[in-house]
Amino acid sequence: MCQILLIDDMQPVRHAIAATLRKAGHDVVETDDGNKGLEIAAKRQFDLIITDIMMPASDGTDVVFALKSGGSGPKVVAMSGGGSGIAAQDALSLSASRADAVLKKPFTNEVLIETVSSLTSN
Amino acid sequence: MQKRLDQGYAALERIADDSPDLLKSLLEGSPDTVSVSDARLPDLPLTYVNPSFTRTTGYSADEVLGRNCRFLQGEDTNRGDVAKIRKAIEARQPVDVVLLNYRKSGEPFINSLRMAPIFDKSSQLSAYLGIQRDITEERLQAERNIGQNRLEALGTASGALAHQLNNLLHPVTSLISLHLPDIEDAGIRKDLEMAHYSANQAADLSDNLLGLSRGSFQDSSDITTLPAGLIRAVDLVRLMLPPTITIETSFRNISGELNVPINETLFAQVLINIITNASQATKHSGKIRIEVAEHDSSRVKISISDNGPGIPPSLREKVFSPFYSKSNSKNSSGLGLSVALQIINKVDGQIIVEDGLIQPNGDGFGCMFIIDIPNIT
Ligand SMILES: Cc1cc2nc3c(=O)[nH]c(=O)nc-3n(C[C@H](O)[C@H](O)[C@H](O)COP(=O)(O)O)c2cc1C
Repeated sequence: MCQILLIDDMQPVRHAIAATLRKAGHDVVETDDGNKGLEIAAKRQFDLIITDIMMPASDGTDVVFALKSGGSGPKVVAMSGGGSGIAAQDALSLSASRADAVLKKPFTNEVLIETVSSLTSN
Repeated sequence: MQKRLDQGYAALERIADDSPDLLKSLLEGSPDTVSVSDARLPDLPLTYVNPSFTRTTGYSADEVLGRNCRFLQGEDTNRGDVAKIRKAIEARQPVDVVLLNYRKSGEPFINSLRMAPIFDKSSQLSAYLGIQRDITEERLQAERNIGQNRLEALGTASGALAHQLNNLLHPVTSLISLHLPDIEDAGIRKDLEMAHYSANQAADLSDNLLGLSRGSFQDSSDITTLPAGLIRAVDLVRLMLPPTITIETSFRNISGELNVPINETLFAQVLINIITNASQATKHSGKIRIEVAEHDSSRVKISISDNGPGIPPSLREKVFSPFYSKSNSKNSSGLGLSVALQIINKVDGQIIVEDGLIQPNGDGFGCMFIIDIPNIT
């Protein structure tokens, strides 16, 4: 079982991902905004942080960079999707250079669970 | 008005006195065409054309003097445009008309004609002045730009749409598959599986949209990779045409990836123009088959065949003329195939027209356009 922080501004998406993770036995804290996510991450230990990279309120790319700049932080998964008219591919490849894994929406539950377990297995 | 006229005449008279030939040299040397008809003679025969007229039309002065200028018109000249000129002449008014004309060689060109009655100093109608400009190249260039902008806008819009769709579809597929194993009632499970299947199909469609936007139509590379670039263009065309048209592709005749020396946006524009034309030919209810063949190591042939009414061999050259297809469709510019040929010619390619697929009634053949371009794999 892992402690997972999930950041996504789209409630239905977040709900589905959280439900999938919980069913697989993980503990999930949800938030809808990158800045709030960083605050929560500063107060609590997480094994893994999953963040959407395109949210209107805060740029998920910043979240990935902030989390990965400190050296030994939690593992980070960047998700693409959301936003409108933005070059998703660019944002994703930018984040991918820092994140530990990348998930492109729509992804299956199996892919999500595999990604989580491969990152947290040791 | 009269004062200005007088001043103008006075200046010209000074020129005529000082350097008697200058006015003639001006007309002869003008980069714009100048043609003059005598307004006092029946049917307005040409009395003067300058060298620029000869260069543009291919006719020498002695071939045209004494004739009415309508010899530049031909089969596909729009009669409404001609009527506009006729009405202006009847009303003794100037007129600007853009119409299809033909050079002596038979080659069509888009002529931007300005024609005006010329009144002498005592206000008597004495002549008509015609200034012609060949704007074919400009028009084709503009058409190419419009096509390119449209594709880029479509790429951006479809990318945005795909991302929103993906976000909406994720919970649908994810939540259904999450809870499906817990459903005991086989009937309900079956229904949910159906819903899941549909959501996956929608996700695939959305992925196609994303493929369109993925930078491919915005890049500036002068290489298109086949079949990927072709598949993207065909996906796009499918979205643009009614679902009643069937489009098949076959890449059996190529061994692997091929590179052709053309920017993907332009390549897509060529395909869109030809496929749209083919679809129109079948009244959007026929079949279009697209194949790629590696002709030899140096050329690639992309064929687009339809099972429409076909084009008789004698007219096959003509379909590339500007406005040739305009009569077939209200909302086409009439320049689609001209633009396609021009783009392909620029990369050392050609487009050949042959018999296409057999018609549904088995009587004859539709049309096949073969794009033959260099292979730079
Ligand atoms: C000076 C002059 C120049 C003309 N130049 C052209 C031309 O370049 N192309 C064209 O299609 N018609 C041109 N026209 C128009 C035709 O000569 C003719 O007036 C027109 O076809 C309308 O008459 P119609 O309906 O009897 O043919 C010109 C006419 C005049 C008087």
